[in-house]
Amino acid sequence: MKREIKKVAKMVDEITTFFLEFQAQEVKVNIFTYKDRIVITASAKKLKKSEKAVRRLKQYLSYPRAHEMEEYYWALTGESECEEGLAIVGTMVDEASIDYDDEHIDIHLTRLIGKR
Amino acid sequence: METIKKSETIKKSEFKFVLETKVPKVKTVDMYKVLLILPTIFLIVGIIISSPQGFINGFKQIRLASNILITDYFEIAGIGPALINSAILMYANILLLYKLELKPNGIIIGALFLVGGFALMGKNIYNTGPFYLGGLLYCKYHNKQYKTVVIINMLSTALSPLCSTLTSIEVYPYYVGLILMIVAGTAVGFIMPTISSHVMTAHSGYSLYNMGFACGFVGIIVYAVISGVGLKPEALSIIYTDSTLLPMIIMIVYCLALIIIGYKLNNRSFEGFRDIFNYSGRVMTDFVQQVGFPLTIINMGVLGLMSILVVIVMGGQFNGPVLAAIFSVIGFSAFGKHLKNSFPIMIGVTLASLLLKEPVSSTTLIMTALFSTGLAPIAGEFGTWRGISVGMLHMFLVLNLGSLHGGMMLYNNGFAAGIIAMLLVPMMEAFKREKGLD
Repeated sequence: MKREIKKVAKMVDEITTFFLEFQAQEVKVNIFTYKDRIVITASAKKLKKSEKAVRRLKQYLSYPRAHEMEEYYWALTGESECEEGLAIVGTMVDEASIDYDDEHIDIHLTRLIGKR
Repeated sequence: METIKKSETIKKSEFKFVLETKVPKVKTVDMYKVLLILPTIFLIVGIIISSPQGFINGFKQIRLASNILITDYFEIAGIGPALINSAILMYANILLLYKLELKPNGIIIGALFLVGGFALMGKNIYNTGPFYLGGLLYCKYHNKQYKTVVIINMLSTALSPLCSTLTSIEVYPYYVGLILMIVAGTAVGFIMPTISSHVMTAHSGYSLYNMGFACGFVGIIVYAVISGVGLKPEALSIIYTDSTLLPMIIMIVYCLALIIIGYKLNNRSFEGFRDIFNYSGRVMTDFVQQVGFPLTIINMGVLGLMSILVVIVMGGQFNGPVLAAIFSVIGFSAFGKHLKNSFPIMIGVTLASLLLKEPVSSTTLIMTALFSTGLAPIAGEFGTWRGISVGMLHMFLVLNLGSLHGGMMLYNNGFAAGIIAMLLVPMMEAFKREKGLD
């Protein structure tokens, strides 16, 4: 269970780093834990180049959930200074949605847990 | 205030592709069919060129060998049995991946080619089995599905010479060696999932051969223990030196086939291929996801042909170890390698070889040049000149690492690549100016 907690913490680290790299003026992250899933929501305000940020989020969060990649590469999440780390987050979540306009970006990530 | 677009949901379960560039979809079963081409060629050619007696004798030699680096199966068993051995291991692993319902991605393809390649110089169905057993136990212990660790198991078979060595020692009866082999292989299979993910952070994903780095350290400890109790294995360098025209033709045909199939699957075009060069190759750059399966196999074919050209230009032979190196280039061309980030590293190795005072066989030199491309992300991220310099360092380092693990770990170049990336990347980052968002 400790590793599962660490994985979620690293995912949050990666997402936070991503928004800060795009010079967001405000970043809010919430974590909701349920019996069968963990939901991470993040909202960022007034990013520079928000179009590019959305493009990158779409690119990397569209990675399908890949348990084999997660087990091998999860430790790299939050460690990188590059956007490739976001791809690892993509392999660790089952659903991802992005809501955005030119001021805000909100993402909603669902990670199913348990034996699967 | 203009709104760009509102509320978009990425439905991963439908694998809806949301990138601007449209990537042709390829069914999972069709991907596996493409991956089956090489083992099928190997099996057919292997059967044609082997006599039944030669096949039996060859397999006996493979089973009894200590498989210490470098043990070329072309030399000890013959080309036919070696090709069949590689085909069997690739078939077994493809079947396992398919049964686990895994969709081929970059690391799956990379792992598959590493297993197939090293099945020409150290891996066989006999000495790799215990690692998978260890993975199964790990999953049972941690209540996970086996598919989470299968790739780690495939890659951790780098330590298969350990299993072979334990059965080939004549101090104790054979069955004792067999038990020791199962226990040791299972133990390694059990511990590698945590070790491999732990060491990943040391090189920050700048070495594509992370398992070589992880297994290198395990190999040092294992070798120290085995040597300490007086069972030190003999250092080997068994290399095939006869004609290797047939393996060369097979590899050329295979690489051309990959390019042609990729071209057809990509709507009969190479459109988008140049986009691959925009990626640094750093973990995790999965080309199957980023540019699609068709362009990925075109990239694999192109880098395969480049590797073959390198071997020809350097006057080398297409023996087991060199084929293993070519396999590693082809496989990891689905997971980060491309011409632009691989070539500088190989130039560095070649330049360093000109400075060497000690004699090095052409096979060792070519293996190093090809395997060194595990450092391709460094050239991709930091540029050509730094890529060349790490290639040079790789050449010098790799020649001195084998003695640390006594050849009990097959991914010696991966070990060297991990050490170089771990030390040099922080230094390079210190000199890298902060870039703007543009």
